[in-house]
Amino acid sequence: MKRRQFLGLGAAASVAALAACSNGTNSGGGSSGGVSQVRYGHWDNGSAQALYAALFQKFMDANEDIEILQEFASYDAFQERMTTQIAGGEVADIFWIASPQILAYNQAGIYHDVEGLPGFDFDSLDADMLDRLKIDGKLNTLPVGMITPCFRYNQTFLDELGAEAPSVWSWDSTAEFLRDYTNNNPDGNKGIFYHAGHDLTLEAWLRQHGEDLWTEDGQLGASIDGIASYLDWWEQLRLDEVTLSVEEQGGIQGAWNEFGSKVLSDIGSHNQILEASLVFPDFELREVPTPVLEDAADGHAFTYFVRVGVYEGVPEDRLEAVGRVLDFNLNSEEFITELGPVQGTPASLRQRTALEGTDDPNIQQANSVTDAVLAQEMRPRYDAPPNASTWRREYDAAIEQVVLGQASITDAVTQFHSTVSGSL
Amino acid sequence: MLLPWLVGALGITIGPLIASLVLSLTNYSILGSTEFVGLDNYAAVFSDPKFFKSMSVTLMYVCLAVPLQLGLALGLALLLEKGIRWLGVYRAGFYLPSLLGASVAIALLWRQIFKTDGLVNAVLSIFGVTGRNWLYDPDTALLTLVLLQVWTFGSPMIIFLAGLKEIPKELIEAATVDGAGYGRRLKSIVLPLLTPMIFFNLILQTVGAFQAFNQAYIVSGGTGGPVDSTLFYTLYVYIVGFIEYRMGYASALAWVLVIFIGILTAVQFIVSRKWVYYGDQ
Repeated sequence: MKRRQFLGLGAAASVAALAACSNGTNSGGGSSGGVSQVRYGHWDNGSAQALYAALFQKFMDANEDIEILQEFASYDAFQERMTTQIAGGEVADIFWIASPQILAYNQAGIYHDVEGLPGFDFDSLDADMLDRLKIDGKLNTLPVGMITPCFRYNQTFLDELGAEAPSVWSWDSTAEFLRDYTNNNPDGNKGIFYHAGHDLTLEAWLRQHGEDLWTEDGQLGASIDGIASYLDWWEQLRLDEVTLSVEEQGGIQGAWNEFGSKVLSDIGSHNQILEASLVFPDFELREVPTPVLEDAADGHAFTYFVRVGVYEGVPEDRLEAVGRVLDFNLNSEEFITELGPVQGTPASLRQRTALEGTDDPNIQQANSVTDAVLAQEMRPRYDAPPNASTWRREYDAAIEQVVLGQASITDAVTQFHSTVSGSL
Repeated sequence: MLLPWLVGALGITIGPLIASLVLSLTNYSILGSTEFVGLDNYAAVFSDPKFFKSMSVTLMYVCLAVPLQLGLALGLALLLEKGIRWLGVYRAGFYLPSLLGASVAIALLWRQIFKTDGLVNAVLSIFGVTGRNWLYDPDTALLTLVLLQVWTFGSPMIIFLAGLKEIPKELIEAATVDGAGYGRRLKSIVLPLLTPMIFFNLILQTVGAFQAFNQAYIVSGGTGGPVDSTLFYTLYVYIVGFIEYRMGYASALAWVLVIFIGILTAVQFIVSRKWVYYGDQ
């Protein structure tokens, strides 16, 4: 073979190799020796990964024709990997969906229609709930659980002080309660850590003020005044040293797991009590729904649905295996009782019923918050539009400018508003 | 024999290079449809405030980190060249940080050292000084990353040591006999003969510093914060591409950096004619 021919062959081989890397049907999962391989992509903060692995192993022991390939990452890393996998056409067969990406992934066309997914029992999922999850009239995601914003506090700290929690949780009474605790506890603890960045609580505030974070037609529904008033509530607490300082926290982000021994309370998602209780097993934690304005707008209560999708590239002959795995994940009582509602209160009635008889006080607390919210009237809630997937970063940047004294609340929120609106 | 190289060169270097150049002329976003936009992305770069912010942060980083790192490396090389005892141990010890580099693990360690209740503030408190959260202060966050870069001085130090070994002993001896002290010998013989090594290290470290990414990504949690004070250019490219899904624009930003580094390197080569001394000249 002449050198030129050899080089030509090499170039052709390289092009073929590159072509093999291009988009196509999902080649990661597949079939091996009559066993269907199902890739399952998810995130968590680390504690549930092993539980998922053990549960999947149980499923595989009972279903020898299916092998689950678990693909796990932290929240941010998971989204970055999804981006790469979407570009390469190699998305996991079943994948979790971060809230800002729900409509962005829809725009990317990666969702398989899951209406009537073979192997999956839809009986335990409320039909109205499924209708609410439809995008453009199609059911292309399935609900794992419901998450609601809440106020969580340490009852042990209150008992030590002989103090009592307020009977009514308005924003004013909560702020007063936190001030009292900060000023009167002998350990120098703070009322709360700085957590203005919690997105669901911001949304709760806006809805109580009659605003929506996102509108039905994909616009930013929140006004500058609405967001600014929420940041102002936090800023008053921060300047009065009722919160930990951002220097102590090492930034505006934080979690109860890090600061639970230094603060009385947190504003966050109701399912986080499970992880918090693991870190501080000696504390008795209590949860109540997010504080409410005294003249809150009707229908302000809401839940956010944690969702999974099925990749559109999954071949038809593997769909049933995918459906069976999802059925185990979303409907099995064994799954939820062993895992606990770490991804929110189960959307499936069967799993929710399985948790009702629990004697775990933390799950009882989480259930009580969801029950209280579900009992209320809820006006529709809309997801972040496709081009707004970075809104939380922009929001954090605005908060950072405020707490570091680089901009006033109004200026920072105006800039946030303009950046996000401009990207839509 | 050539095939593995060819596959590697095409698949890992040339292919992506050409692909990114093509993408820079499109509005490719991964999630949506792609259209050819000509030079619009390049035009947009110069009206993007974050471009100027990230470039200024990166230039500040390069201007601080590279001279400090090379100065420290040269100083230690001069010390080690004197033939002190345990030279091998010192050399290996000083080189160790370069092996670890600005890796993810070291960046995480840096976070622990410089946080409010970290090692630095613990040491300062011994002397009655109240520290701060060095990484969450816009005035000091970049400086901590500069220190991280300076810390990896081992690699240029080894090159300087090799250069020092190449300096003819008879020149040093002749100067000594003529009464030249250490300072004079350093200024008139050692440094001029070392200029090719200084230039080589300068080019390598400058290009490397422009490409710094890991440390800013880990230390700032991928945001470039606080308030963009550690928004390195490469981090901004990453955010635009992988977080904002504007791959076409990110590709254009990457090519602007390539062109900028190319021009800067060319200027360095031109200027080097004035101060770099090669033995054969």
